[in-house]
Amino acid sequence: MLDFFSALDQVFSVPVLLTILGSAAFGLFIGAIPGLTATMATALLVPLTFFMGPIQAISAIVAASVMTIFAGDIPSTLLRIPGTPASAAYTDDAYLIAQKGKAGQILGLNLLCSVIGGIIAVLVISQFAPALARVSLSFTSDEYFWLALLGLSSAVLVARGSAIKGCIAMGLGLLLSVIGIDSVMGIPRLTFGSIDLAAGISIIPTMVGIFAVAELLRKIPALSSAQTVTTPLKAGSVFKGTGRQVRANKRSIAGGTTVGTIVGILPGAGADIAAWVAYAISKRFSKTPEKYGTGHAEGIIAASSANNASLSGTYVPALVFGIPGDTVTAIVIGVLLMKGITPGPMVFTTEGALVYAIYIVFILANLIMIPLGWIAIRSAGKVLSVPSSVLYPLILIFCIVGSYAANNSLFDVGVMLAMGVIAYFLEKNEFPTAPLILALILGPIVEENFMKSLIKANGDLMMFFDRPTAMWLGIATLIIWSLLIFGGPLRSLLRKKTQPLNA
Amino acid sequence: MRINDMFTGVILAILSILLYRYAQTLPKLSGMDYGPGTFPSLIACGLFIGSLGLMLSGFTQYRNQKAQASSAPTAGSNRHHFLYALSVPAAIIFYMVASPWLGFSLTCFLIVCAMVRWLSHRWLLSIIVAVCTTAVMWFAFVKALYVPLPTFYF
Repeated sequence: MLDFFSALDQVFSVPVLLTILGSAAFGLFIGAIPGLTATMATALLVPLTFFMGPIQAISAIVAASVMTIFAGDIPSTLLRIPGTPASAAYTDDAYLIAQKGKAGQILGLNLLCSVIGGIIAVLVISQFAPALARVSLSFTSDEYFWLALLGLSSAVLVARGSAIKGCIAMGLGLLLSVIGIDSVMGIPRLTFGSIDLAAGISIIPTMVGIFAVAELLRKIPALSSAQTVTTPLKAGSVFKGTGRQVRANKRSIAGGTTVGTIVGILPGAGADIAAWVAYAISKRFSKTPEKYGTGHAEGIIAASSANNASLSGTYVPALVFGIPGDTVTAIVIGVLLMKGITPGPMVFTTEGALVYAIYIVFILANLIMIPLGWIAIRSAGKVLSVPSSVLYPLILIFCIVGSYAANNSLFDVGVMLAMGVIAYFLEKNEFPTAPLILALILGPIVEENFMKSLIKANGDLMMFFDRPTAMWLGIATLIIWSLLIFGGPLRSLLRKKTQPLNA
Repeated sequence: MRINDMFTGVILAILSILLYRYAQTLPKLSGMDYGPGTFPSLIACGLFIGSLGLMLSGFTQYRNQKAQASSAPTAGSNRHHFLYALSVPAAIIFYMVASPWLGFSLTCFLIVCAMVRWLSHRWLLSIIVAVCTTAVMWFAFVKALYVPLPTFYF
């Protein structure tokens, strides 16, 4: 209880409240710009979190990510362009409703569903996470090794594109994670004599490079061709009749929130997958599935509750096991490690105030989203008219200064550039970048626990399956790897077998 | 920059062989067969297997491409796209080289002004945006966050 009051005291201090407000406005702005994602908003905030305390830093990230996911619905409704991938599932429905002159109402409904989904999910995880943490207190290096590997494997499994490219991206992330002084004997590895590389690849420039610079490299060339200006639809009155619709669709909201929380808890799956899954499930169990995709609100309600609920869900594996649920929590883990806090079950006893603060900030961010979201919807026309030709150079200079500011080092600016170019090349060639960043964060955990277990077992790999929990986690990991290796050939074999039957 | 998976696979195979050879040169724990090189060796093996898969998929891709005549985009639009994309690394490299000499303010002004002008084709807008950005960044990082940004050398 003392931790709870300490968290309340820290969250409701003027600097943290101002940080939440500023980050919320920033998140709304980034989310409302088509193509700029929640991960990019978080990555751009990371250099600033370097100058904050742990609670202030996490508050900034939570507030910005919650707002970005909702704000992605604004261009999706007014322009038919999803602001973030999490809004893509219901873009068509939202735009078709907006065309009927109900843009304000549908955005108001999105806003309320996001708030309800977000708050319920926090209440659920606040009960669930400590219990899970108590169980995981008995974990040894064996369980942690398998857990980290399971998280990485799941990230590869749910990543878009071919499994082999996901595995290679993961391998490259692990390779980057071994750069620096090794934890077993203190020997420099792959540093090529550079003092700057001895501490390993810095997290801040890496995040900024992969998520912001690579995005700019993709977006800026599009400005070379003549831009077709799409006029956004008028938002009109917000919240008119939304209360009635919320009451009428209680089941969709509950379903969406449940799906979102569960998908969020799964390592590697984030808000976009949650929205697609919730939309599909809602359609499957709807009395009017034929109306989906024709401007029907039911799917929007389920999916917008799910994408916001998943944000809270992703913090469960991140806090309990130190395994990121998605790219945003990968950044959160990086920030916590930078602050000297190692996420894991011990966080619930040693940093109880931080855990409570995360819950409180989630609820606070969702509540202030109602007035701020209303302002964002009303001023959407102005935000959407900011020209990309002005916005992108500003983002670039912020990336440069942000990467420099963490260690006052131009070397870090170079790291940012290199990572940006690598991520751009990988994405252009259909390699997913999420496994790379998760591997970079989880690499040291995997290696440290692998080496500990190997030394304990005197090199006997069967000892990794000796403890019951470790055995089940190991089996789950091996099943995922079997799916990754044999899933593709199995699918094509089944397709071949069914083709003659269909013919 | 889209390149065939076969080529990427070959590069990756070479990289993984070099990594494996490097990992073998690292010392081992006394009396044991493993040490700081064990994990990098495993990564190298994994990457090598992945590179073989990539080469195979690249070969299939190449065979399919040969079978279908592909319509390539015009060289002009490609060059334009490339030049626009190049402006990002060029601006970052310019900052790394010029900021220790020209200081943050002048370098930031030049980068923002040049990029906004290049992307929007409007001089006045680019100057106004560059002045405002430089001032805001300077106050935010130097005055509020106490980051020692490079100052004018001369």
